[in-house]
Amino acid sequence: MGLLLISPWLVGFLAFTAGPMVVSFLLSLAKWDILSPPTFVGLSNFQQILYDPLFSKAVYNTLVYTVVNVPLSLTGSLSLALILNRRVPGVSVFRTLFYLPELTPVVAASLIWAWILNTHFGIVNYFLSKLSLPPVPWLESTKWALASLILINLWTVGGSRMLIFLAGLQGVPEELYEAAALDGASAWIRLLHVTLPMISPVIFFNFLLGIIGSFQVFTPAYVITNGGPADSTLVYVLYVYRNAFQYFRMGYASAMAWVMLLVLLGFAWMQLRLMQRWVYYEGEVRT
Amino acid sequence: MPEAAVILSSRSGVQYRRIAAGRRLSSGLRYLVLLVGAAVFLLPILWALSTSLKIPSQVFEFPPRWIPRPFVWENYVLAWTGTVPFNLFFRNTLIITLIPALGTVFSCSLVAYGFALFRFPLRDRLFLLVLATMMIPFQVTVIPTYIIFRYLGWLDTYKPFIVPSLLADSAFSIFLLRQFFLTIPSELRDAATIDGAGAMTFYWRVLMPLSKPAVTTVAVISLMNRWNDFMGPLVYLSSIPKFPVSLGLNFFKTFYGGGSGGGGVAHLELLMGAAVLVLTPLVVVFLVAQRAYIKGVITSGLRG
Repeated sequence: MGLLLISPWLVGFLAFTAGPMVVSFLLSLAKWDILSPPTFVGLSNFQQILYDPLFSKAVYNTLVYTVVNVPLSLTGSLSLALILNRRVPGVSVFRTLFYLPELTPVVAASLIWAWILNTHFGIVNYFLSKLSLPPVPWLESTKWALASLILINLWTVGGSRMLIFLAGLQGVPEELYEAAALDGASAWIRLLHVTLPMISPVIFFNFLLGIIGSFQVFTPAYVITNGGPADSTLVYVLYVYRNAFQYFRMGYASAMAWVMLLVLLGFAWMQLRLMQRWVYYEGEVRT
Repeated sequence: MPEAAVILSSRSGVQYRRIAAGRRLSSGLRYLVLLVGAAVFLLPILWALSTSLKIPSQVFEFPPRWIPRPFVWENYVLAWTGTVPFNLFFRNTLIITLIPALGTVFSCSLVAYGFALFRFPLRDRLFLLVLATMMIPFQVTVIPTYIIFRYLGWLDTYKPFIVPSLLADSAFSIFLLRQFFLTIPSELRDAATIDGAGAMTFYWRVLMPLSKPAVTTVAVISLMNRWNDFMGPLVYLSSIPKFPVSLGLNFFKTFYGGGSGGGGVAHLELLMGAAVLVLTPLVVVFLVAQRAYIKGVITSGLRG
């Protein structure tokens, strides 16, 4: 009976996850443009990756995006959560307001931001001009385009990351703060030595989400800048997408997808190891 | 911390009053930060709303005008039924969000029921496998699934969205429902069995009604994710009349100009109107199902 009940999942898993993974792996060893039959080429796709300047560009962009994005979104959303965790009148209103961007579909958010960051008529540059600063070509210069995408991402995910932090903060027992305060710990010390260790699982969770999300960023880069200008926003997934569905280099794209999967898995494994060292779970005995 | 204790014990009444004043100041400051933060978060949406209600000549006014005069509500009518008919995209979106969301709830709850309340060989290992699939990004499987759907002749139909949902395609939903099902006391099941209820009767008459909170969470999250999905439709659909709103918006952009970087031309007010239209149903669902939704966000993290 149990097996019967889970059979839909089993079928779906074989047809839409396991099967495709196998196919994807085989494809990564082949050259295939969909129209003519695939030819086996061994590891040459992976070899080609090493010498593809656009691939390294995509990796570089994605790394920069991740390294800037993750710490900023962690500190930003944690700060908001810390403020909202106190009894402030109208907390629920604020929570909803901060959450609004997360509800905005990415395409809609991308279009709205493209308009806001417009060099000539956008309100961001209008505010800058109020401060007598020169207009910034947010989406048109190789210097700013990736930063703009990060900005948009911070706006979109800030709210949900904050909610996750808030849930963690509400689980910290009040007595701990009282005890620390009695010992004369300042607010800053309490934050460093009570709050942060207590919510370390949540920090870890948000961190992982941030990394995975940053590695997979696609829609804004596709909709707003389409990788440009001069490939400055060509992120990894966009490059995979182009190879697969625009250049129809299915084998090459599959190889890149596998590289990404291996990196993500390696990263998750490393994180799990690290986590055991610095994340504190309640009731856990340290040795 | 002996030093701290000394400092604490040496505090006089005056010092306490000063601390209290400091608290009041800092709570004022906190409020200010909150207000500024809320403004930053809200501003883009308000600006889109403002743009969507302007007459075309006011859209590119500089310095910008915040309150449109007059309010051109007809923009929404134009966006809805104009040259690029957004009502069509909405209908399509309803098809590929509502049906698959129902499919997900139904199939994932059955699977979760199997994992939670039955014993069978390899059960725990299979469940680990379910969890492991959460780690596999869509981008890895999208190429071969595209090929499979192509082979089956499913490209440019809604089958790639509907069929997988009937086959429990959401590991997160299975996980969440299973966790909930595990909290249901086994006495209930025993009682139902004694009363002659079969496994399916128990599922339908007892388990599902009792699990309303978890079911709502799964339904709402699934609905929102599918509404937001861009890459899936982008890969699987090619003819414009079949586009959902996410693709439709992007098409809108190329059609009405503006959008990326440059000066931007043509009907940004319609584009922003369409963006607001796409956003509104999600806000409504959020406000109605806020609790279920937030619970889902906290456990799943949703978007990356």
